[in-house]
Amino acid sequence: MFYAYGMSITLRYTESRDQAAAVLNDAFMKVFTNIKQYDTDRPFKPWFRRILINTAINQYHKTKKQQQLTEFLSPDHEIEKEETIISGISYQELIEMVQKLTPAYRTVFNLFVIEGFTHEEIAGMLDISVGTSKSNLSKAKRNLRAILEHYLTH
Amino acid sequence: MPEEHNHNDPFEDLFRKKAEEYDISFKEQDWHALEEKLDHHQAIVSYKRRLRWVAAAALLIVSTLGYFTYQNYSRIDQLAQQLNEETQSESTTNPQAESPNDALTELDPVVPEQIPQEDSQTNSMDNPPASNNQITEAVSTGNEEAEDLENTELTNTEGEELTTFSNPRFMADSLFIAQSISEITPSSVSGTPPSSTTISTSKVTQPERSLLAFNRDASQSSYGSLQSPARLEIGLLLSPDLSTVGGVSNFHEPGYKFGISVGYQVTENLSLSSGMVHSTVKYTAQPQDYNTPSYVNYGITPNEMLAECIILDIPVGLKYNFKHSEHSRFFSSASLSTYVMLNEDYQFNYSPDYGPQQRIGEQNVQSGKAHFMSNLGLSIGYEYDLQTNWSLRVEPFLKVPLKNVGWGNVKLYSMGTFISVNYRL
Repeated sequence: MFYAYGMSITLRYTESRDQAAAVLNDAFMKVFTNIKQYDTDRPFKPWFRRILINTAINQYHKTKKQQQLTEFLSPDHEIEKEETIISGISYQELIEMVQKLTPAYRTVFNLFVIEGFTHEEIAGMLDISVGTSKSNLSKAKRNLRAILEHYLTH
Repeated sequence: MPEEHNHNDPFEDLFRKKAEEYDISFKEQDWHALEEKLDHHQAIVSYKRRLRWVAAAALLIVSTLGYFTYQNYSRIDQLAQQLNEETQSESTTNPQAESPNDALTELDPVVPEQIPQEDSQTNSMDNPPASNNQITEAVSTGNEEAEDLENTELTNTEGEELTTFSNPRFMADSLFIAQSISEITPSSVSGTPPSSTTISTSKVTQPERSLLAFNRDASQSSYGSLQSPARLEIGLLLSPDLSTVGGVSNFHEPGYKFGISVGYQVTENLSLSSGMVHSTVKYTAQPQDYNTPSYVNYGITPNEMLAECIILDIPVGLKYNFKHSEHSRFFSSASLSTYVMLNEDYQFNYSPDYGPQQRIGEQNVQSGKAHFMSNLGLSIGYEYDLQTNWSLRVEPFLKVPLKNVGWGNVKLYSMGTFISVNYRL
């Protein structure tokens, strides 16, 4: 039950299923070792979700230098395309698209669009400025649109 | 949901909606990877637990060995000092032995070098024909006395040898009995008792005299301890508290401690101690020094955490007096403290970027959770006797963490100086 739920979150923050499984395992370890701190009066799922997101963000920070290098080598992820609304796409296909984004774009996109954090909160979590957060979101959306269109035309 | 989220953006809606439609199959290898992590974690926990027990056992062994070693050296020094005193007194005392009519005199072994080694080492008891009990002790203070001692025997009236003092333990016991009698019947010192039992001492060889002196000292010591019933003591204590986490630096404003202590004297210098100390602990912690439940800050890292906790500190330990003077002593102590978290108030200060309404977060916890032997207390102190049973102590202390405590999961260091008034029961 919580495996699928956990994977549905960690998959969006990582580049592959193996990485997602590793982050999920780290999150489970935190749950097991800190289970005494869990307030039983509160629902478990939000607590678990918070741990999953924090673990994914920790993983993002650990590989930040490598990410910056990757982004520097391939700076042009922006592809100008018209917006296309597609509803027939599967969950698996959507995840694969998100995983194609660079870690910085992917993380901001997930935190803002899926999790609902503000740019101020995201800036605090990722140690970036609010402007960078907004910029990364904009670029992430543009890139996803391009990837989506490419997917539909091939 | 913040205003800046665009709910009319079909692109964002698409991803939000699709993200909830997950259908992910379980992979066996993921469980195996998690199982390995769990086993590894369990191994680390077990290792740390064993290490803690080994450290405690090592501390106990080292403390015990140190104590007995110190006691041994003290005893040797005491013997040497006693021998020196006897050598000095020998040169200044009247050489004549006390009259047999004196009801009680004291046995005083002579300097060993002045006593020739001979084979006849017997003591006997004389019973006077009149059956009077007269306790007499020959005082030997020079070569002449040594000669006298050599010729003196403890015999009965028929000249029958009663006791041979070849057993040093018997010698010391006999001496102890004689001294006890002298303590019990002081009037017999000056007066003439109706009956007398004469106890005199034959010559005693050098090793026996040393042993005699040692055993007499031991007997006196035992007797002295029997006279001292004050083994239990209680105290009221007060101290400021400077606490910090992560290391002995970055102190916040001070708290305070007050409580009671109980001590039980095991030996002259060693005591078991315990107590209950109510502690108000205030500290500040950086994000890397605490580990609060992650749901509290919703993924946002505060700049700092301020804490004010009320803790019941229950220490159990040992106290050792290592230097004495007439009315005071220096001591050191080591203890293991169990912390019971009575109340915990935390305040999180966030970056100003989050706006004034989001800059401060608060959390109150009243768990009553006990952290068993979570801190090691070390102290060194000075005790001064105010009256017979009252004493005043000043005791600087340091408490170092053995494991994390509290809702914030912090390694809590504390230091201060206990000032206590103690009463020996």
